Amino acid sequence: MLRFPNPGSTINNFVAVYRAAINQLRGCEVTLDNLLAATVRANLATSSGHSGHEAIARSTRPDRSKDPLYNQLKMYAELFRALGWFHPTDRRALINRFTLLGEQVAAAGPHYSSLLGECVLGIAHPSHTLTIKGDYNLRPFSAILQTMLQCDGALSRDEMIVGPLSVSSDRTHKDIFNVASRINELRRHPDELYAAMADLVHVRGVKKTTFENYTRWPIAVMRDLGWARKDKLPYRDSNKTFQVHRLTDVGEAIAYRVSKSADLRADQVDTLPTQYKSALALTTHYSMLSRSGFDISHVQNSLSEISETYLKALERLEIDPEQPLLFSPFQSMTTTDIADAFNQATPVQSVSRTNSLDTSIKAGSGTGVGRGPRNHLFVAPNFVDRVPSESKAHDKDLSEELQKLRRTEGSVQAATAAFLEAHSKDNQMAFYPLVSSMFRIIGFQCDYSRAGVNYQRWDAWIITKGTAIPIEIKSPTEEQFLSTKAVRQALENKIVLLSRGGLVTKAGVSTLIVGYKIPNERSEMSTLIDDIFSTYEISIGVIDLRVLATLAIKAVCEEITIDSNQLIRLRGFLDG
Amino acid sequence: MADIVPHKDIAKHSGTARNYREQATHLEFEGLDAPVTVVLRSGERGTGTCLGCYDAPCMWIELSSAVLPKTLMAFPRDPDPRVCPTRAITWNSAQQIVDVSPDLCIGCGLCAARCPYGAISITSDGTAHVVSDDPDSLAVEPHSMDEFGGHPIPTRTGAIGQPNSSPLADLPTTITNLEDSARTVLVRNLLTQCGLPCLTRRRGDQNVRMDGVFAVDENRVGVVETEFGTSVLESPRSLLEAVAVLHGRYDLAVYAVEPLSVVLHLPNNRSEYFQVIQDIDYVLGIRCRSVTVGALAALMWRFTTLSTLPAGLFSTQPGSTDLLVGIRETVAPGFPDVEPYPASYRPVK
Repeated sequence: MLRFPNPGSTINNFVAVYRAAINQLRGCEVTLDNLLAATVRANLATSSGHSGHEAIARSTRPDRSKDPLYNQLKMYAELFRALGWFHPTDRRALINRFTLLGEQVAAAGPHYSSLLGECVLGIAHPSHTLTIKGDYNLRPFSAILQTMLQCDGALSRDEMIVGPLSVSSDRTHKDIFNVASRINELRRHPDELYAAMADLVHVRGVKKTTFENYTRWPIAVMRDLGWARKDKLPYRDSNKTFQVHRLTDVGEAIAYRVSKSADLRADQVDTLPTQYKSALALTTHYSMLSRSGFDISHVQNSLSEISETYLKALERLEIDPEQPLLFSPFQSMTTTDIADAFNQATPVQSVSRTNSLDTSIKAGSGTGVGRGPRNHLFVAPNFVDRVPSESKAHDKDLSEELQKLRRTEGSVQAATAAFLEAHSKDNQMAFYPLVSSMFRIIGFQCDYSRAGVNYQRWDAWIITKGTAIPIEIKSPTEEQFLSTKAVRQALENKIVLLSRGGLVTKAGVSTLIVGYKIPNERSEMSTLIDDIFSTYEISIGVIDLRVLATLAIKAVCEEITIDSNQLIRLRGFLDG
Repeated sequence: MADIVPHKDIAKHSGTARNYREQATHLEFEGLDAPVTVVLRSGERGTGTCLGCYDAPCMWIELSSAVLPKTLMAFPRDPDPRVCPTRAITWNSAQQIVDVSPDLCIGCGLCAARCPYGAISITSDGTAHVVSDDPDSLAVEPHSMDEFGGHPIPTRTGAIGQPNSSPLADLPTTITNLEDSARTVLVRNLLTQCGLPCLTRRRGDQNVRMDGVFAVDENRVGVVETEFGTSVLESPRSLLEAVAVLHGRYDLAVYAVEPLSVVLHLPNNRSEYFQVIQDIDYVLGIRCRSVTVGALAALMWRFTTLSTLPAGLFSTQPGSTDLLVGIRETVAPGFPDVEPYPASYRPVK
């Protein structure tokens, strides 16, 4: 499948990043760090929960491949190049310069949509200015629009993936017809498309979510340009419907224009003599601008002078002059041909201006990489002898289950893994009692709130040392991975308990979150836990099922448990 | 031939394509379907007409008007400067006027409220109507560019329409059908037009833990969370998170932050929403305010300014959940008790 990077979801921001860059760096060669600095200065960059220079500081890493902001700007740069707004310099692939076409985008101000649409249609592979993986002979947006026309005016995201974005060539009408025919067949039943996607995933060795990510930018473009809107379609042989992106009137008009246009590609233009290429480049460039609402009156005389050469070029290409042309010179011709046609000088300034990154902002320069040092939020349990607490009916069965797991699996680690797997599909009705039972096994008085008791806003509570610890529980069916949503709810639980009473608690006592798994990227949760503590002096502790199971197994097998003084003040992730 | 050519719709200079004979000092709004009366400095009166502003306040909003504390100047705002949430208003370069697409217009009245020349009113069909034929011959050829001293800031009286008239009454349906970005633009611009210059986060930016911030005064910043679905109870929690982030990452004092929920409907009194707000106030000393889109729009339709965000405005607690009481006590005595739609001023009983 043709891959589109996804630096962000709105075209407004996308264009704003380019505009910020060109306004600050006009005339320069542009590295990714220059682009990054320009984006930050324009308040368009965030990372690790921060903005501005703090975002850069927290993003920057010695290994740039792990630098989220840098990678995001890399994606922007790739798309700018695809759109003809950046051209590569001769020196290195990651150094670019602004193009005349990009200048026009900036000059359009808020009226950039039409020109953006032309540039989007102008993306075509192969291209002299952008190398991509895969052997594609494809003008992707043209392929998508024309396929939509033949598929009831609409395509779903998955249909785009298996259809026009996975076809190796769209050079002929038959190519499009074949794609559309296949899509229409797949609409018989949901299983058909499902199988087609599964096949693609298997063949390419790429996850489905990755394919989906590759469509985000093109879908956002079509949405924000007003070419498509969301709709639903029924399957032919099923009661189910599926979400599609349907052409609007504007999108349909664009699609029809595209279908009737002569689609001129780089390999055809390469065969032309230089003067023909120049005439073609100039005429099509300014025609594109004219269609996009620019006033080309003062270049009209110059264009008239080359019109004869332009017509000869079309004749050589066997294109009817009356037929609309689908061609964007800055996106299809070599940089040398462009420079010849537009008599352009190369930039004189390189990257030494103050627009470079402040070199004092390095990884670990005080604010820390990523979310900053977070070690204080990963807390190993302090173990003490277990004092059995009051048990309930289910506790004995659970204790025996845990003991058996420990015996059969051979280690605590293996036993907890098996326990996790066994409870991976628990809903609230199963998970809440399970959690409270496990706390009792560990040695704490614990119970869970019953449905319908609205004043008990917390899902469970522990009573220890005469004080209540509210617990927010997220079952695996609610959330596989805990998130900031649970943090907010845990905070609210504590506030409500302090305000309304019902159970005795104190301000310094923690509020807990128990869930199936903690997220792989824990930074947002941990930063928020720190923010909440620094602001409200409320401690939020997080225990996932693996750690809880570890504690419970140790309790039944080794008669040890977590120190209640630690639990009552837990802040961060209990790390068993 | 590397010529950069201008876009036809870009302002070549500041100013307007036409001018009134004298500066506009006052605009009188007579409700739906009635053209706006403009009063000039000389006392001359007539129907307002489009003067073809090159920087069209009816189309573009100045985001830099939100003056935030230094630590928040890097707030990663949505750079979209459009006024109209649905992009219904466009520049007609051939005639040097603005056009409104009735198919796209939702009749929110933002353009009408922002036009400094009284050219736009709202019809009972729920769309904006632009007068451009200068029926009372108030317009003359433009002054020279050097003489343009900026758009006037006329006083405004009357109302764009009754609060319960069609466009505002239909807001719940309208908003439900809007794209998320359009809703955000609507809320941002309503707050800004009511005197609380607002910046909203960029769509999809999960690093920014709040929907938006707005300037209250030199000592206070507002943070806004919008919740148009059924999860209104999420809003106070989100506000607490936002306050914590502003304190923890932007060094703002907690007391300097004014949290505001913008919702579609006020939840009913039995909902935990108001109780949780009270709990937060009791335990943390943070007063979370609430306002509906309908109430904001109704306030804007009567040109009410909220710029000091006085205590008591949009504040609720169990047993006292009527927004109109606070509105009348603080910013608009005598504000009519006409709800745009049920639960826009007070919970439904």
